[in-house]
Amino acid sequence: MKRLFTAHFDISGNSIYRVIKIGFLNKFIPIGNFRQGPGLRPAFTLWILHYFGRPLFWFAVRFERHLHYLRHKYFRK
Amino acid sequence: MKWQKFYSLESLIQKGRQLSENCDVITFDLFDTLFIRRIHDPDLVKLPTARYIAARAHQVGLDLSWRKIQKIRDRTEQNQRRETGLTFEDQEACYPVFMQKSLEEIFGEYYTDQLLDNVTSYELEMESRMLVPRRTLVDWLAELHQGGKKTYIISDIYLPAEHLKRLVEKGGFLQYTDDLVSSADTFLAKASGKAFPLVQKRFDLDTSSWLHIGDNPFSDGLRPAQFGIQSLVLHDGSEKHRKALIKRYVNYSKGNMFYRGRALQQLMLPHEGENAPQTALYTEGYNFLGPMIGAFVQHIAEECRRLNITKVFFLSREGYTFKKVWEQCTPLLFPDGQLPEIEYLYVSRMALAGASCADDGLTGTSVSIAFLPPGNRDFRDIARIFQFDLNSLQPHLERYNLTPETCLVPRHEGFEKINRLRLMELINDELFQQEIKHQCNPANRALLRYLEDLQFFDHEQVAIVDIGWLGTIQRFFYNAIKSRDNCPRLHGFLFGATRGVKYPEDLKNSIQGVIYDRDRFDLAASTILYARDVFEEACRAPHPTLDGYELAEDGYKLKFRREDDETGRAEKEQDDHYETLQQGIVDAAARFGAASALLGFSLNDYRPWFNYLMAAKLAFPKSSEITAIRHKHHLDDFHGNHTPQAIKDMGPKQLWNASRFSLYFSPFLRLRYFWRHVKDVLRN
Repeated sequence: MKRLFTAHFDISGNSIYRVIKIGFLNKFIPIGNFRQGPGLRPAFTLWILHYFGRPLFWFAVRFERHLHYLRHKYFRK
Repeated sequence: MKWQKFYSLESLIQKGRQLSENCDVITFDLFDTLFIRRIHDPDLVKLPTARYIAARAHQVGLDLSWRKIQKIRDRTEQNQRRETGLTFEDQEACYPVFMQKSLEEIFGEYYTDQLLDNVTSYELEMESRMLVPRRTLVDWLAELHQGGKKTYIISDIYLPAEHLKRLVEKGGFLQYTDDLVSSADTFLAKASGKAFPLVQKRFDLDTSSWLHIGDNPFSDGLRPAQFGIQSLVLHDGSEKHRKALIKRYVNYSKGNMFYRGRALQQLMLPHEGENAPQTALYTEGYNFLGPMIGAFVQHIAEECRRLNITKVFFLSREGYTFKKVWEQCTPLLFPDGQLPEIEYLYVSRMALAGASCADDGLTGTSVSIAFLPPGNRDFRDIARIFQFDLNSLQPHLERYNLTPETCLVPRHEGFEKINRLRLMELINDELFQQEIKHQCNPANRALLRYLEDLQFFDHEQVAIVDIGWLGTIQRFFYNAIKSRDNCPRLHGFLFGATRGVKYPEDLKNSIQGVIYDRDRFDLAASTILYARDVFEEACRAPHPTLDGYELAEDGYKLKFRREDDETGRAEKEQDDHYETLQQGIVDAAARFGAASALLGFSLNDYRPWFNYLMAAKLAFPKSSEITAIRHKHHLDDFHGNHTPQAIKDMGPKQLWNASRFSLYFSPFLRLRYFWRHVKDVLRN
């Protein structure tokens, strides 16, 4: 018995890790038409968010004001 | 009075319990507090409503895009907010007012109050499908209410309290609230703090024994604190994490088609109390088969609208699940109601095989189809499939030096080419065909009576929905009815079309494979061939197969296969095994409808993701997935009991039939099978 939605907010039995793995395999073996596929940047961002999102957001909600300040000071476009 | 911030729901409830002991009144914010949203941006829920209004406008001859309609709505809402801002501190809007103005602008003379009701109902339905009650908070609300505390919900939103009540009722906690207050009714909101004096006056409350819970530090923290109310604000990192993910999936899906199906699945996922532990089969039904069958059904509905098909017949027994999915998801996907009627049609290859010979007799193609399964070898098998009376046919066989036991298939021992030629000559024999037609006539007449009863012939164009694979059922079905002058045009939609025997398409009869079609090269989708039986078993209705159609005094009689023999019992066992998987598919269908309506995508948008899904789950599955999903028995009366002379003639060994040991320990097993599969697909 397992939940449909994992603690990482991922799909049970079809995690982002598996998506990346099959996407990577598709670069070497013709598996099928995935159009653009997972893509390096989206896949990396999603992998980080799924697996490290919990500590990241634990930190982010506690230091939201400070992060906003830093963002505006150094990353303002 | 100071407000306090909490980073987890548990700590907030713990503190809330302490404070509530000295409080008589507890007020809650609604959105992102008692309810969480599946989607990160609440404005996205407005888009399906815009599509619905565009569809309704199209019905009265107004050709407006849904984007244009959304702009009109946004402008009208902004105008109302600006007007409200002239009189009130808060720039609030009221849904019925701005929506009525928007609809009047769009529809002009065609506007009716009924239209506003329909649009409102659809928007509230979509909204409620995107909302999930926060289980622990609702449990605490119930506890407070049952403990004699006064509980109110205060929300800053454009929906009036009457609409909020409908949402809360669907969420299942209306009985735990004394009343609801919305800023849309009074234009006094929590953001300015004006809502709190209003609530105090309306319900005659004492601020010193009042506790407010919410998620906005300003509206639910600072403002009530300024008014002397104790307040607790939830700042939930976990929720922000979840929303960051769905936001990225939805945003990536705009530019990268691969993520469209993934965004759909993220939106379909259950939350809070919905996410209970489930069996492996339920999980596969919900996460793997559910979205694909949902998109299959959505595609059929879109095609029906495009081709003006007026009735859809879901063929037994796999059509049972497809019909259930249709019932669950189409009301949200196509709220304008422009959908064909649906019907479950009792058919089977065995039942139709005989009925199909009433006009054309036994054809060479029908014989070829009958000899496709490796277990069929002689005329006795043909007689079993087409339900012929062998005794009456015996003289005809004898005229061509054939017996019911003469081997007619090369893969079986005792085959001689001359016998196959004799069979072909027999098929061309007029007397033999007359006897065949005579024998098949009652079944054909009973079938026609059954179809007349279902008003099948009242339609000009009908859709025939089945799982696959050769389209044999539709082939036999069409042969049985094509002589009728009022025979409708049949549009066949198969989940997967393998087209092993060329399908005789004409102007009144066609098939298309929706997820997989051999006529359309798609390597990933072709992996469906790895586990065809699994798809069949997963979708099959829990009733016995149809054996045939019989004439009765009052019309016709459907004759079902007996359930008390060994085959029947094995089939029952199989149905029980797949029950949870089917439940997963049906449960996924309702959420599929809401999620797909919100995203506005269709099957072709989801296809790259489904290709990945099929490749991952069928060609490169985990060993545990195969052992959990694969069927125990696959039973089919169409298949005979003969054993071919060589094992190799039984067809290649499949990954999904591999032993547990091989699955876990054989190196590169999946790659080896996949390589063989690629060669097969390219060769065929």
